[in-house]
Amino acid sequence: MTWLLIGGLAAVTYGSRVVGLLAVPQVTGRLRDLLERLPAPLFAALAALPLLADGALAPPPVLAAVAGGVLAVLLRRSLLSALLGGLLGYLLATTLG
Amino acid sequence: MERSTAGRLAPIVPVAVAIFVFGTIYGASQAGVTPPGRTVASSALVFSGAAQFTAAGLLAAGAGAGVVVGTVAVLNLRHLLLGAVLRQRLEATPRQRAALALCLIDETAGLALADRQEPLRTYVLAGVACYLAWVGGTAIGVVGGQVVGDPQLAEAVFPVLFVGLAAAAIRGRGDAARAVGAALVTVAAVALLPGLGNLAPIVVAVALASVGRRT
Repeated sequence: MTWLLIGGLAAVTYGSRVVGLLAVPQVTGRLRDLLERLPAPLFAALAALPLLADGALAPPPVLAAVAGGVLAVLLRRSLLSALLGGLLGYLLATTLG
Repeated sequence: MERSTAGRLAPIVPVAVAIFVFGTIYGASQAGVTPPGRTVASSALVFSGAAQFTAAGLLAAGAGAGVVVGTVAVLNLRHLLLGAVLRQRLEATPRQRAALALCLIDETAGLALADRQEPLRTYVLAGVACYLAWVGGTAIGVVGGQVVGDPQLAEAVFPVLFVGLAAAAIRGRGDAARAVGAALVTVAAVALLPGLGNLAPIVVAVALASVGRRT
C-alpha cells in the first residue's frame, strides 16, 4: 500500500463522512434502498473474488478457511464466529494436508 | 437523570475491545506486505476497518489503485445514510461537524443514536475510544504479524473476514439471497469474463443491490 493510495483512501473515506454529516439531506427512495442493501452483497462478492484469482482455484487451506467461516456464520451470524470458523478450517486443512 | 462518564463508557468498552482485536488482525495481515509505519499510518488516517480490509484484500488479489479507491468510495456511500440520520441528533456547528466526521463509523453512530440524552458526548467518547483501539490494535498486530509470518494464513484472512462482514450486514432473507447470489455471480464472472477482473465485486454488488422491493 503506497502513501498515495493511503491518501486516496483517507480522502474518499473522510470525504464521505463529512458530506454525510454536513451536506446530505435525508436520503430517501430508491437510493436509500440501494445503499441499505449494498453492504451484504458487496462483502460477499469480495469474499468470493480471491477464490478464483488469475483463473486458478485458491490453495486448499484458503478454501477450507472460507468453508469454515461460512459454516460458522450459518450457526452464529457474527464476524467473530466467521474468524474462529475460518481459523479452525485453516488449521484442519494444514494439519490434514 | 444524567449519566456518569463511567456509565456512558460501559457500552463503549466492549465495542472498543472488539475493534482493538480487529485492528490487530489488520496489522498482522499487512506484516511483510506494507512497511509497519505505513500500516499504522493507514489506520490513523483512514480509520475504517471495512475500507482498509477491502483495500488490502483487493491489493492482495492484484487490483490497481483506481479499482481499490473506487470500490472503497462505493462502500463508503453508507456514510451518507449514517451521517444524514446522525446529524439530526448532534447539536454542533458546521466546523465541529467536520471534526466529528473523523469518528463516523458504524459503531460510533450506533452508540450515539442509542443514547437519547446526550448523543454528542457519547459519540465523542466512543469516537476517541474506538480510534485509539483501532490504531493501537494495528500497531500491536504489525509487531505480532512479523513474529508469526505465515503468508498463506494472511491470504486466507481476507475472504474469511468478508464472509463475516457480509453475515453481519445481513438483516433478512432478501439480504441473505443477495449475498449468496453476489458470491456465486462473482465467481462465475471472474471465470467467464476474466477482463472484468477486480471490478467484478462492485459491478455485481451494485446490480444485486438494485433488485428487490421498496423497504
